[in-house]
Amino acid sequence: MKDLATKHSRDSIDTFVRTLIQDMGVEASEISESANLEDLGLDSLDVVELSQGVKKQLLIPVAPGDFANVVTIADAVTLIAEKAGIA
Amino acid sequence: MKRRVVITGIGAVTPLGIGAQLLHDKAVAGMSGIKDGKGLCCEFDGAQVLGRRENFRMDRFAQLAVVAAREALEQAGWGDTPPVDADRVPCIIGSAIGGLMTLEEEIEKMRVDGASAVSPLTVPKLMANAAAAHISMRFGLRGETAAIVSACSGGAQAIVAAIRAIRSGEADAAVAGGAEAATTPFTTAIFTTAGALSPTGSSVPFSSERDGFILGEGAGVLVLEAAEVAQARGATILGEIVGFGVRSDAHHITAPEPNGTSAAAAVQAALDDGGLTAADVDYINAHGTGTKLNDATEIMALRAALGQNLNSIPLSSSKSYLGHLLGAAGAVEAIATLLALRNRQLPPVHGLRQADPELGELALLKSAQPLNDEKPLLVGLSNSMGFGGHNVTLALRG
Repeated sequence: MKDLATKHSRDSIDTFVRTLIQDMGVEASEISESANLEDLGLDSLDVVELSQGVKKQLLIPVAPGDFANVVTIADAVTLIAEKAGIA
Repeated sequence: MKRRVVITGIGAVTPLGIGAQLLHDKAVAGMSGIKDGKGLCCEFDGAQVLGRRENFRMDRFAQLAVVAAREALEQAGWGDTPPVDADRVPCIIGSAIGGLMTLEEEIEKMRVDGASAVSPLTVPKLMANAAAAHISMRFGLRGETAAIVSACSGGAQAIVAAIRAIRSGEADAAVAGGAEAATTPFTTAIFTTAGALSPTGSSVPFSSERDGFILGEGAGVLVLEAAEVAQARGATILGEIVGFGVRSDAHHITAPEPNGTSAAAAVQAALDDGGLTAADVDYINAHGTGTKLNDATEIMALRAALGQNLNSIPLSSSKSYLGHLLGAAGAVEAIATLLALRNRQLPPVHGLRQADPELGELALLKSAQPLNDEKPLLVGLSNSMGFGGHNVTLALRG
């Protein structure tokens, strides 16, 4: 956990999430901290993809179920940061 | 009295490019979409034509289908929703395999990164009905939506299913076709070990040197409407599917029935269904894969059904310039047939120099040929045969 916390920052996670969501086909201009995932056209299957991407590429131990209460991009970033041990 | 089924829109994405008319124009100009022994839709970039979001959610076979459907529906003058009761518009799209590229990618992910890395989008992308489902979603078609999975006759059988729905009165219009994007090293290996793929990559259907088929990808979609419905809304009628015949070999999982009896029965049934005789046929777009066995059996079947008439009916195979589009073939070739009739210009067997003399006397087209006839409308047959012993003949007038 300590390694992850030094390796990542809230900013780097935010950038990663934005890039991943863009790879899913969402336009960069639509993505903001407060943007609602549902409003961006992302459904539960996309959230699983997001979780898989974070786990595989950032090596942060998240599971799709962790995202159950995530509504906005900021929520997702906060959750992932917590899982990485960033307070 | 059967309800007449007319064609009001066509769309195609093929190795010759994006567009149905383009397919015809290039084919009669003597061009081929086959490069390095494959028929790939090189000009097609899903993200570019459909947007990145759609690209992410769809396998290539569904992307090809949606783009072909968009062209067909635009030509038919349909908007975002059909011009008739949407509940009475089915969408039937054939595919031999479905999203094979997705399947291969995800199995590799599981092998390398484990089960938890497998995308939840795998099934919605690879399922064979994904093409029909996406077309239905995009264009608001609320009748029955399904895939017909019958190997290389799926596209033709999808059209047959749509005609049946319209004739029965269950539907007023339908969107039907076929889509395939399964040209991967894996399928190449399979068809090679099966001995069906051309080892030279230059096989020409009906030639003495033919040594197998050439794998291709693409999609073809037609908008079909009950004639009175199309007329009532003032639609431009491109042609009519006057008859179909569907029969099965009940013989072998891959080899055609040696005498072509069932394929001949399909041709005869299509003629009967359309109230036609052999003398009415102006052009035959053969299944013509370029395997020794297929071409010989198909000609035997055509001869059994059409008799001496076959000797002089112009005949060609779209697979000579597209490759074998598997589940898309029947639909794309029905479109090629319609365009040949409408343009009164017949596409050739690309690359044919020496016809196989063992096939007997035939009017094989070595180059594009104008079809000069006093008749206001011409008749063409489009044949499809699939692994499993499926034989389909469509009779078109245009």
